[in-house]
Amino acid sequence: MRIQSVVHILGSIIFFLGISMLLPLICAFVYKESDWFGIFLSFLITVSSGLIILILTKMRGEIRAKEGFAIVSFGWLMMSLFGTLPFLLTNSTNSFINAFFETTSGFTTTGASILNDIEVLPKCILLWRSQTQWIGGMGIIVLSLAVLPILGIGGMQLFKAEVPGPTHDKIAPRVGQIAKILWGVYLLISAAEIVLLKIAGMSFFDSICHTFTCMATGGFSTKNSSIGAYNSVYIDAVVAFFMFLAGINFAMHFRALKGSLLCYFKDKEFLFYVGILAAATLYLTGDTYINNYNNIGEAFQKSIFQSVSIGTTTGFVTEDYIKWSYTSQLILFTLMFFGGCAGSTGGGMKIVRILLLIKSGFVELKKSIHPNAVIYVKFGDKSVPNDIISKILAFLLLYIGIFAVTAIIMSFLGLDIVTSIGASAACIGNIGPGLGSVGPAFDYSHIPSLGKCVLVFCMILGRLELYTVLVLFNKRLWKV
Amino acid sequence: MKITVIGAGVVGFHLAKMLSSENHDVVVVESDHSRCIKVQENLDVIAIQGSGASIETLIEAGVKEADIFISVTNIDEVNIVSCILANKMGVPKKVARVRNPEYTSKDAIITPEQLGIDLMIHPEEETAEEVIRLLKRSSATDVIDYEKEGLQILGIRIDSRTAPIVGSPLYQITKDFHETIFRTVAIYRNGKTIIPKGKDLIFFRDQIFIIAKVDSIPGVLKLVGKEDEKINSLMILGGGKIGRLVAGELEKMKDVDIKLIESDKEKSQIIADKLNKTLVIQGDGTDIDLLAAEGISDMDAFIALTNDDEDNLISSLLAKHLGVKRVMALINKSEYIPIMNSIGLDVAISKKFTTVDAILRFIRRGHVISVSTLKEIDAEVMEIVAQEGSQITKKQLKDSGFPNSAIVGAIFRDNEVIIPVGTSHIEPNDKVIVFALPEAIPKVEKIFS
Repeated sequence: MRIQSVVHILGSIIFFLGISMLLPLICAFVYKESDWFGIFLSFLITVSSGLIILILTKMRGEIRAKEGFAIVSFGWLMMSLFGTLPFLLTNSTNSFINAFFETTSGFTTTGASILNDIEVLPKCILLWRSQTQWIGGMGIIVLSLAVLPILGIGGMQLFKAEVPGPTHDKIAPRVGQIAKILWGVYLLISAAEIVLLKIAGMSFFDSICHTFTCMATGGFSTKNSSIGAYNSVYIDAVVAFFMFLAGINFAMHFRALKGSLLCYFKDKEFLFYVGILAAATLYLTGDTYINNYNNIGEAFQKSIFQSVSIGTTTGFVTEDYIKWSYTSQLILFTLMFFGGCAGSTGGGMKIVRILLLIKSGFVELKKSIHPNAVIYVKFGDKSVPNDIISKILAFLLLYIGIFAVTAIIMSFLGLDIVTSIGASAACIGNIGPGLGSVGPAFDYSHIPSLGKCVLVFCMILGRLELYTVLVLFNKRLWKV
Repeated sequence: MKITVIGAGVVGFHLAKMLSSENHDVVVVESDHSRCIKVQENLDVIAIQGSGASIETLIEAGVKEADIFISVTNIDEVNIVSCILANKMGVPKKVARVRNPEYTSKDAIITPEQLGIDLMIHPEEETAEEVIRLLKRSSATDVIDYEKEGLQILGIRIDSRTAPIVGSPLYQITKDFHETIFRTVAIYRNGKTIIPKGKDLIFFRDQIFIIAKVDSIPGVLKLVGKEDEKINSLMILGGGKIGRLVAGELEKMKDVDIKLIESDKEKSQIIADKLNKTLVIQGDGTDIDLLAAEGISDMDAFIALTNDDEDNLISSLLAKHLGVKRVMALINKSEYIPIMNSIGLDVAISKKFTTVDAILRFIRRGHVISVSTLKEIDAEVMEIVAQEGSQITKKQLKDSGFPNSAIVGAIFRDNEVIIPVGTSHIEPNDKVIVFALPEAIPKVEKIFS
């Protein structure tokens, strides 16, 4: 492990994070809030820590896969630690562990909160809270790759360690160009959403905050009752549409923007994604129409919003779905595991993995009928190499394993079964609201500190798709 | 520039690496899955699995927008066909590696031009030329000739502790031996390439690269504790294409006694038929008795050119052990090249690096006139013209913001050659020879344009 290079790049990540604190600082000045000093102090501490690290260390040798894992994992940890400063220095949270939970939940685009009353917070903190999600959505490493040209060959290793999905589309020859394209598309769609939300009737400040958390499939809101607070069909529609966009592979958006709109419909993952969301919406509409609402229109509006919100792992709510039938809740719970498409900002296991797992299940069935058959799992018209399938199987096993262990720890700490399972699934899948007492109407503040730490770890594991973090626990990685 | 490389063997991989580190957009097409993965894991390029002769693959690789197309798979026909396809798709520059000399010979029925290929690289011929060049400058490990300008770049291994150049800082040496004008442009030590500054020292066992005018080379050689020896007798091992080409070329020189050892009986008969003055011996080159019987200890040089790296290494070491002063070995596995120094061999010749070198030289025609890569070290030698109004022409060399990992070796101005120092000034339209580590190349290009 080339520790000095790792620390050097961590320095530049911290520096970037500090620079990004200028945005809430500006916000504090615009709204003439007294909390500007706390933000300014956070900015100063973060930027200078980054600079000191950059000055004291040097790049020693290029970044290999192992350094990539370490940089990305520790980079996210550092972001979550330095990101607590604005919360702490403005006294917005009552303890470090709460601030840490809130920040990690932000950067990992989980959207689980420990705040009971969001609306009392100053605007600059609300913006910072939303902004953490926006940065975490496309990823700060990808941002650094887009801005810093120096990383070169090592860049691909960093890219792979941060961007979700089993394989990565190379939409341009150089990783720096890919990062620029992805952030460019992200910015463009975000700008469009801000405009549309403003038109739909949100205030300018709220449209920025909600865009930040929507495009990142994060789910933080500036209102206690989330998007439900607006009670507007237009806002629901705009938010649902952009959550849906954010759950799609951004490489696909890039191709579409270049002119080939049809590319969406050629992509098997996209079709499956739409299919799952449509099926869930269909069932939920029927179920909630019979059990909860008298009006089919309202049932459809709430159902489509909730399935897209949970399916893309955003976690915005317009309705407390805990009041829905158990089947409806279980369907939403299942969606938590599916998540968005590979290369999107969504969490979960990713649609493409689920699709390939189902397909390989069928292939195994076929093989047991024809023991000598040579069958490949096909994705589109290409065969998927067996090593990718076995990697996905291992991923599934680890994912379910970590989910189960976390749920058991939660119940050990005194939570009931539904809450334990809900909290575990919602954190590892980066969704936010879970079931039971961490459901949409509640928050995570009552979970014991140890439980919060475990959930924080789960969020980072989920955002970086397990392997990037888990490999660091392998002793051999550190030796060479 | 957008560059497509077909084939990710040693040559393709190395080319893609060099080109992408110089900020070109490179797409590599390779039919083998594991090689494809290797490229994807290690290089900042797009790797596409497929055949270079398949139109579909080429379109997927974006060849229609490519500026340069390089085909270096190990099959001649694939290289030629893919270049023809690239030509039809409108790529301006096409390069193919073609081993079969029939396509490149003067009386070829189809010429490269007719096939739409701008450069056909024949690795064996390129390598044979390099061997000859190295034989003529027998104390050097590398030679780059600038015949017109009367300048040479030499790679020299320091193997005498008492050589005058060892142990004092470079600026001191320049002062003490001011009548010998030369410039040390790179030092290779413990696997690392150093671009030296005035206060750097040269140690025993370093490999150094110097640039000097041809007439001051004897002086330089004295400084490094060497002298060129006239080669009167030599032994070539292996009668493959390169061996035959080298022997044929050497026959043109006067008073050279050539022996060529080939293990295959039929092959040695063919060689004996084609060559005139060379004495062809049929036998095993790693057989020490045979070598001794043929008087190897009296030879001035021994060149191992068989297709087997291990045979080449072993027989060269034998030759060195038996007292041959000048030993060269053809090495195909690029992994072996860095250890040449430590096992005591003078010169390693690599077909693949010679090919890479020739292709890079061709590509960089623009305001960069030519480039050579040196096989042991990372540095590249480039010839570049200072444009009117470029940053470099505005200040003295030492203040011009010239990157640390690059150095100016020589300046050509109106038929005059200047070996520069820190206070030298580069003027517009000067042709300059620059040594640079790959990462410094874009910066160098920038300050010259």
